[in-house]
Amino acid sequence: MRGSPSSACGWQVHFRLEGDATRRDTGLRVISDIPNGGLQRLEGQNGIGKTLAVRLLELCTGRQPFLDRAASWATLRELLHQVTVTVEGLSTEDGHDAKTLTLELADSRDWPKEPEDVGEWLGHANLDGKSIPITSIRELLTVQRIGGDEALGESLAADLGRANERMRWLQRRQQMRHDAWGEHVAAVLRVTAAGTAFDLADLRETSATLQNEFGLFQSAATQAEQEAQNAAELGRLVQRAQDLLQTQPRIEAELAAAEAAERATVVALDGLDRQAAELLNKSHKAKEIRKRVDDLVPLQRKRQERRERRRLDLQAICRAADLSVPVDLIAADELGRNMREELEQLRQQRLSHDRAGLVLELVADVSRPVGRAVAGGLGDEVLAQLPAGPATVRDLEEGLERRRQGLQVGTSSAATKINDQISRLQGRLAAAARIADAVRLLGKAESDLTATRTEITEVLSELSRPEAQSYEQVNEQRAVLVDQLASYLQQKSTLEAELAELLSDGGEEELRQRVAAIGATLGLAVQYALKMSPEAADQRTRELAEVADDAHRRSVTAAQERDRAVQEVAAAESAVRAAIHQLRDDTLYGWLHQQVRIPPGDDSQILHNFLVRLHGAAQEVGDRLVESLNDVQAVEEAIDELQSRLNASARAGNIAGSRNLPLGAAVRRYYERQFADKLTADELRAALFDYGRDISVDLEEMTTSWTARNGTAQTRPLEAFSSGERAFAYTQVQLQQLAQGPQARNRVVFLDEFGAFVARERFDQLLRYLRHQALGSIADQIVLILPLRERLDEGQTAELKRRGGYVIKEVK
Amino acid sequence: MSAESGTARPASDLAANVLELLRDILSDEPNWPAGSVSPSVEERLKLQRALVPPDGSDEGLAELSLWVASALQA
Repeated sequence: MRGSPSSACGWQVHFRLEGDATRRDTGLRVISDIPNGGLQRLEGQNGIGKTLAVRLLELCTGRQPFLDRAASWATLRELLHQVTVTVEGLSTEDGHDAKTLTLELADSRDWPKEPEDVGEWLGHANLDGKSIPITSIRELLTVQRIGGDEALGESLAADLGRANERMRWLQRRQQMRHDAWGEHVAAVLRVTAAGTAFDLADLRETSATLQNEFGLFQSAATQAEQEAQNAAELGRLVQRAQDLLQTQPRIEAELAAAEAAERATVVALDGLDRQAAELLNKSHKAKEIRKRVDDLVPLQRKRQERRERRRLDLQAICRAADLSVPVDLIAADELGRNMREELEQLRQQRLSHDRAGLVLELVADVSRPVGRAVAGGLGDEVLAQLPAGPATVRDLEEGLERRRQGLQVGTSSAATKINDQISRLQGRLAAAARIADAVRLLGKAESDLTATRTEITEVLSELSRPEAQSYEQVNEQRAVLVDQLASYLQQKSTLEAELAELLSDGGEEELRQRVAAIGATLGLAVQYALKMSPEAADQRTRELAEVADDAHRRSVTAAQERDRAVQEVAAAESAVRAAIHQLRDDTLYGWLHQQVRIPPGDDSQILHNFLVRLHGAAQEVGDRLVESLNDVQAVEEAIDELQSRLNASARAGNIAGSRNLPLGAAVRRYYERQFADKLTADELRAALFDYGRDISVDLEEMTTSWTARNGTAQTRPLEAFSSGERAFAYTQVQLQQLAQGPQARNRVVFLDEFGAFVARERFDQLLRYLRHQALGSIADQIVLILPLRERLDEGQTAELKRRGGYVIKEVK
Repeated sequence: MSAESGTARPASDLAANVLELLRDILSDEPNWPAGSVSPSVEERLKLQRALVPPDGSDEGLAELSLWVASALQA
């Protein structure tokens, strides 16, 4: 089929609409046929679908006329169902054969629920049987409807309505991403919250500070303890010096006396020995008896000496065991039992009071295999899944070391006291265990001595009675002297031991030097140290011990605080690792990896810094999302308010003040400029302002102002412009804008709802304008849609019946 | 902060039209809301444009990743 050329671009086309709606079986009516022509006049009854057909054709050619008619869209979508639109006589680029465009619209119930930009959802299109994209039709054919039934204010308000529909459309289109982005950003904010809940560097610094404090207190405690020991030693040496001064002369005098007595006794013994020898020489059996006595006397001496040693040994053991002499073996056994019970009690006490010591042993036991595992390269392996998070082998090693240091601080004092008690008791028990043997050995020595004495007595009994009596007397005197000699020797030994003990720290000069040296460690001048009393030294010792105790307590407190800080750091690091683990491995955050690089490795400070930055970035994007929504909503509300005020003004002259909405003033100023530009179009300027100039619009007062040709300033309310006054000029403007817009090969314009508002003389003027200035240059085909006239001729009546309520003819 | 679209696409006529309207109005009052330190109008329009999916069915998480990355670098 060939169309009718009307211009360099397009031909006049023939529209056919076939489908459920044109067959009147859906409740929605659409006229089905608009033949080709130049300037046509379509008259029809109300409700037959004239306007709907035009809007449907606009939709088919890429315009969405329902953007501000959501309700009409819903009805259309529900009732239109399937329609095929055929456009015959289209001009194409080759310019020769007319083409036929066929659009098989998709079932309207499958169209988008909200009016959207025209896309492939509309259906399938082909040009002369060859499939073409729906969106390419707009380059081939334009259909535009111009309405003539609005007053100026309503017309401007309709512009606002369309703008607002576009805003709402934008909001709907953005909603999916807005919601999805908002949820994903919220998820990032949640997982990175661990990074903002604390300052890891600060926690670490606190931990290091507390560790330093602990070290300082520990060092102070050690120093004070050392000074206290020095003060105690100073007191002891001062006391020793005094003792030396007071006691040494006495001991030395007593020792000299004992030595003198010893020498005298030895001389006396020699005399008695000589006397005994002379007695024996007088006897006829003398030689034999003397020989036997000479053999026994040395043995008697040895046994006397041995008995003395045993006696002294027993005394020493009894002192060590804290027993009195003579020894009661039954009482000694009882004492041993008591000491063993006490020892057991002390050991139990150590168990309960020295648990830290036991834990310390356990820490040492566990540390060894853990250290080997770290050395073996297993440091990063997770060893335990703790409530605070996974703990690696290296975590455990570090934690054990920190615990060991803390335990060492807390155990020294109590453990030392108990251990000292145990040590002392064990010494007494060891001594007590030797008592029975010592008693037995002493008894044996005494028994041997008695036997030797008896044997000597028996040998001497072989002498004559006077000789024997004399010898017995001499021997008894001798035995007495031997006992005395042993006593002197014992006394001398004791004095020598006492003197040795007294001099064990050195003589007077050495003591002075030591006192001076220790005094210097305590900051004491030499003279003061040498004159210091033992009581003053004790006082100084107690003071320093208190200082040491105080420093020790502070070090324990610091260790506890440090341990808490270390735990906080560990918990923070664990939280950071858990968050990073989620970001790395949880599919919920997979999208983030496309552009965001999560730092590798496990340096918790680097990872924490990243979490903080990511949290800030997510916060910023979240804020931007909120701002973007606020922007659109604010513009929408401001346009909505302006539209309401404009409608109220146009319909009832009701001028309400604007509310102080966000962006309200900006929207008002924007549309004041837009509307002023629109009204400045030559056709409108001529029709509405008698060629006035400087046209402006005030949407606060709902007026328009201009400068008349005579130079006077004019102001007129918007509602004062009638629709008829506006329609002709407005149509010219719309047609001019169509001419200035994108040019399709074929252009068809429908002027809808004009007849009731355009005065007869203006209607003829409009027809002349359309025929001579618009047809061909602006549009290839123009269809005026008017109400059905009352009088129809016979042919028109038949056509009315055939077409279903409308007639159409070329305007001559 | 800014982010260029990771999936550059021509905005639809309608989207371009309404975004142009939004730009003109925001340009008239760029300091809205009062006291805010909102980015420039062009930056705001970039996000508005990024939020319009090309085919109506894409969450555009690649673009969101780009926006977060840009904020991280800021």
